[in-house]
Amino acid sequence: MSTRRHLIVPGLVWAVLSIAADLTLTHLNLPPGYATTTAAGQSVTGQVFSMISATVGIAVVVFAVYFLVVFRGRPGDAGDGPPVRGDVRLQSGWLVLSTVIVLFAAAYGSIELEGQVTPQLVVPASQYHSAATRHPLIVQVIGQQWQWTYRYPQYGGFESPVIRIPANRLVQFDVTSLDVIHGWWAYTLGIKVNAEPGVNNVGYVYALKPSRFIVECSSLCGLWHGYMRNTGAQDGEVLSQSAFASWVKGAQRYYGPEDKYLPKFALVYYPSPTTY
Amino acid sequence: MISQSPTGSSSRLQPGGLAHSPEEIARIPLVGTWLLVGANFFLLVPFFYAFFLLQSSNDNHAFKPHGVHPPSLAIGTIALALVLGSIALTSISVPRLRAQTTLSSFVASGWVGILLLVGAVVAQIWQLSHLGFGIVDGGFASVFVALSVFYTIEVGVLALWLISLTNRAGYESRHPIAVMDPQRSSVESPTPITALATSYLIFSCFLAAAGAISWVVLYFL
Amino acid sequence: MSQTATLGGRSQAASFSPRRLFLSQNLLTATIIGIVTGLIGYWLGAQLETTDNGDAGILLGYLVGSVGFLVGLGFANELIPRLLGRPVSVEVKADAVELEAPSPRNWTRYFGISLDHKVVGIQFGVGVVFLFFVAGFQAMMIRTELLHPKGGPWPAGQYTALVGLHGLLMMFVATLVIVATFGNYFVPLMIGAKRMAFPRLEALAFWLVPLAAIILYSSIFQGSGGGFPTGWTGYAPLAVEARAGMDGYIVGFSFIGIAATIAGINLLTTIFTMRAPGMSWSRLPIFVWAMVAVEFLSVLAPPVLATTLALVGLDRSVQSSFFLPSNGGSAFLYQEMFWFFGHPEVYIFVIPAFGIALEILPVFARKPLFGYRLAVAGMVGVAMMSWFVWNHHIFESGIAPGLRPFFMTATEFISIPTGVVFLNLLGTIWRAKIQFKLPMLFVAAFFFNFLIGGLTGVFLSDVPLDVTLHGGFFVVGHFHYTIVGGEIFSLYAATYYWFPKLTGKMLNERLGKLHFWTAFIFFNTTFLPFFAVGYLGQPRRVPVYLPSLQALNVWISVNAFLFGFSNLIWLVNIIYSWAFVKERAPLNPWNSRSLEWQLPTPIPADNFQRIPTIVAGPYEYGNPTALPVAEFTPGTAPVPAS
Repeated sequence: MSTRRHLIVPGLVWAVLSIAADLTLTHLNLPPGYATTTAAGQSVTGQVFSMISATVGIAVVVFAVYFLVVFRGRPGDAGDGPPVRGDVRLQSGWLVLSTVIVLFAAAYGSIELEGQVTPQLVVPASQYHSAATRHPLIVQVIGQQWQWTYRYPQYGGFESPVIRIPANRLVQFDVTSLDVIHGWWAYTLGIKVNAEPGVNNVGYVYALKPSRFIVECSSLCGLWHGYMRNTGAQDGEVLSQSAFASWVKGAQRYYGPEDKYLPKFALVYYPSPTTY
Repeated sequence: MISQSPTGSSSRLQPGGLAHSPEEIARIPLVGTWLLVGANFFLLVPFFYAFFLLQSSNDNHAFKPHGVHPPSLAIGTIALALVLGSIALTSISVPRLRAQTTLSSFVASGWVGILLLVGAVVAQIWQLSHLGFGIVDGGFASVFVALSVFYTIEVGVLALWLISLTNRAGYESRHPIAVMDPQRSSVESPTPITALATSYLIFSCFLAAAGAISWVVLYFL
Repeated sequence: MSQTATLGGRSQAASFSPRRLFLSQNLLTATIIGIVTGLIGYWLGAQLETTDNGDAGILLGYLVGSVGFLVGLGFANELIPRLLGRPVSVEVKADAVELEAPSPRNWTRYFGISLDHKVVGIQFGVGVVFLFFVAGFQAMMIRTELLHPKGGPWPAGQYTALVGLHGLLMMFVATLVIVATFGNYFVPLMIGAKRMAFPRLEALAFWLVPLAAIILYSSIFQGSGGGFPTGWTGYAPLAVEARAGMDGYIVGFSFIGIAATIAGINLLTTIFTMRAPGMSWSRLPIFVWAMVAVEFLSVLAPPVLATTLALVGLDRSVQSSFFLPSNGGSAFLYQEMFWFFGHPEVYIFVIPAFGIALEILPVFARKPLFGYRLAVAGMVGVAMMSWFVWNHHIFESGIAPGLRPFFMTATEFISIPTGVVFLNLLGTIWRAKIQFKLPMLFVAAFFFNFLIGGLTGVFLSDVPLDVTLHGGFFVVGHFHYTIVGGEIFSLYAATYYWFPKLTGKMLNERLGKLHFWTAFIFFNTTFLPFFAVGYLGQPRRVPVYLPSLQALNVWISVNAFLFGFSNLIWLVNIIYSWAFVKERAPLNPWNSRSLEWQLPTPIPADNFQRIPTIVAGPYEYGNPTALPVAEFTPGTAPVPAS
């Protein structure tokens, strides 16, 4: 059996299967969805990485299975195979190819990452110079055992147990914790920021349309970690700008009176001075 | 010297013995000690990492809250000097041991070295009980007390090691160790005193360097 | 007739008089001493306690009790002689070990300190595999809880304690099962050494394992609800505020880290100093190279863990403030320090698995290992690069923004040396004459599983993707594919491969085939959906989930029970073949060239009467002029015609 045949047959199978897989993947809408620019970027990245993984994975599996089947020892043949110890061209080719794939993935990921953490890039290109970018909405997310609360410093610093953000405006989340490490995770918004005590962690989101979203805690924080979520009636909501404005007015009226009992707004909070 | 080809003959090699050769036995404590140095290095790294991270983040301005000042530099320096002195002594006596065969001078300098180490431990314990702050007093205090206690324990163990080594040298000066020929005997030779002394030297130099770096970090940074 | 290998040459005869039972150093007396000294330590800690939460007492109780246990077992027997300068012998004075016929004359040596690395290897193997089944049973409990979206039989606190125990105990298993069992047993044999460098240290490394497991399990009985609430990662400040079960985590995990470091120092020193003449680095079996690569990690990484956990212990017991921001500490500090250890730790799991797979592959392909040097470079490269990627576990924790692209790129680059192993596979089976015996089946399964595990790792290394995938079941799927699908499947392969040399029996063929198919199929049907539920947003360590994910979770749980059952088939096969089958295995059933297979079964206590001279590499299959790998009597190797 010639070397060429042993390479062409699995090669063809690989080509067919990976083209089929890649085509399927381009038509799938992968999570977390397209509600925000960050989520959309992650969904597309997921597709790209899935296609690369599928192509590479199918290659290895097809060739390995083919070799395992075709080169199995015949019954009664107790001999050894040929003493091939290595092949410099094949080895260098493999290394070069894997380096190229890795460099592509790293470059793609780095560019995408910049687009998700730099405020100017989170916003769609058309909005670079708009007021939506120059005046982001700032929401402070406070994690504690075991609930999330949200403060709006630009609106008097009221604290609300539900989160509402406007669509089509850059939103900056300042996430902190009062006690242990929590993880603020809004799945469909495509944002996950750890809430660490004594630290102000910043994340950005630009929502493209009104929607509802669930908030969960992604970092084990104690007994009721699994129940530390905003769901159901407490769903987070992305509202249109006008709906958001009216919500804020109502929230200021409703939650405002509590302000005098809360500590002054700060980026991190510490308990009152420790005494022993 | 050693054939690299897959189908070489053994004609150029010393055939294997009935026991491991004295050269191999001598290398064992040396390699083991270098690895121990590596492990011990990473045992100490978190303390320094904690110091620098806590100093730069200074959460709640509590890295060095009011009332926490670095403790007595004099005592800390004395403790370090005693450790360094002991190890300097070792770094003179071990090469002398390798160069010549008399063990009694090695034993004598060994006991001086032990006294210096014990003195360092005592000085450090005295300092830790007269700090002026406790481990509860913020980030710097936590690192200082924890690192000092840990290092003091290591110096104590080092002193025990030196006692064992010095006694071994004394024992060998009274009962010369016979080196076995592995081609004829399946009894292993005991580890030679020079290998044991060199491995002690390696580890004690590491500990001396760790002490010096700790001293700089804790008192001056 | 024969003297078993106990310290001081005391023989353990078969008689069990009460006097002998309670006055000699054995497991029973050691346990009693351990308990008594533990209570003393607890009392001592209570005196030092600055608050009344009891942690100082518990921590000191564990530590002092463990020291008492080890002293009771006999580890301190040479301390006084050493302090006084007497040389101490390391010789194992015992006759050949009959492993297939346990008799009082020899099985008691497994319950004490043994200086024979083969005994220690078996001790590790049995002990760690036992822990594997305990932790596996807990996995079944976890999957039971996840059958229903609103939770199951165990309330929230107990569920997280369950997850933590399963995870941590499996970490114990994964750290040690290949390195400590097969590394300790076979590395001296493969390099032609008569013993290991530090036999007593090795025995100590073993005895730390039952101590660690007991201490960890005692945490179930501490505090209200029991267990520890942080998962295996032990994040402070939750670890500082946690109930008393956390102390068991601190001490138990530290002990395993120390055991790994000790085993590493011993293995590395042995490989560096005690190779037989002619065993050059280019003739070293690939498994031994894997041990070299992994032990650099194993020696250097666990000490970071030990210090980190000690600092948590200090925070808990004497109110220092390493990790409490309100008093000058930093929660982020814990994450950085833990993962600096934690990432090399997971390569400690995986590199031995590569070593096993690449060691077994040439034997059943009947061809040399393709790309031996590349494989070595790959494993060493993975080991070195694993120090530079740890921040990928904390991408979302607020690390400096410029660090994220660096760690992402470094993590993706580590897939290059990791991928080399697949080239070794393809090149070795190219034009081979593959014999599909049981070890080969598991090696093939290893490669398939690890491929999926490795590719999903690339997803996680991409920071934007990690934003969605971190903390969810995708991560859990990734590491189960690499650790279970990778390391545990290579453990299966190693068991089937080396069982004839360890015990003189072959593992049953039919049970083995049944084990293989059930394990491979049910492993994949269980863990492949993890990626789906993770991508769909199910967080990990949480007993509740969205109702829409119930079908997937039920499917996973049912298949998990079946996968657990397949492990029982393996266990039954081992016990049945070891204890009840009388037929002896051939000396070299797989026709392997490797040095350990040229020895008789059972292997003599001092391995080789005369240290062999190595004259050829172990992978010279298909080479008609290749010499056998070693000559045991000097001057007997046939000189090749040239």
